[in-house]
Amino acid sequence: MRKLVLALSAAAVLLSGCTTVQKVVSGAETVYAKVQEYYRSAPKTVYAARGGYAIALAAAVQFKETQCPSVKSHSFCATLIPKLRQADAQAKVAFDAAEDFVRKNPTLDASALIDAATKAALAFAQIETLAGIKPASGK
Amino acid sequence: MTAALAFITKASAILVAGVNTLEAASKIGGMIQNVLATGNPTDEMWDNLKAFEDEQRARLNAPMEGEN
Repeated sequence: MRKLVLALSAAAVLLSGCTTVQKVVSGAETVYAKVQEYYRSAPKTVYAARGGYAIALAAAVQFKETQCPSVKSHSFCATLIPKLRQADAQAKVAFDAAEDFVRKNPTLDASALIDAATKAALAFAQIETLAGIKPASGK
Repeated sequence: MTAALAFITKASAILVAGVNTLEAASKIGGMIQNVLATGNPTDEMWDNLKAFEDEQRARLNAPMEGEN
């Protein structure tokens, strides 16, 4: 969860032009502590993490539909979109496993599954960040 | 919405500041807020989140023009 928050905030930093990375990291760590405090239950943690992932997925869809309506829209479309699809498929598997476990066992420790889902979401977010996915108005 | 959720959803929305993402952030943020306000997520809450995710996934997987 912490790495996911950091990855998402790092992506925001890149796009916002903010140079105070240390402030962002400190802010993200504060957010992570608050998230841990609020989501003491494994089901809530998985739900919130999956919700955050759904937002990142929506961002990828926005990018694909505006920047890559055609495989020839940009030179990167032919390779980047398949990468996002593959990473999304892996994230789906990880989140499905975590969700299935916590729904059946809401009081048991799900740390390993949560970590796996967070790692998969992080990998997806990093593709977006490294690709420099930007608002449609700024290429 | 808690400061934590606001930060996460805003950071995510900034990734691509399109209508789709902002609407998604608002919608998902509301879903998460409901979970906070109640107990563990209900079956309906899980189904709603899954439906949204499945819709986005279908759009991501839809072939681009000229793609095999």
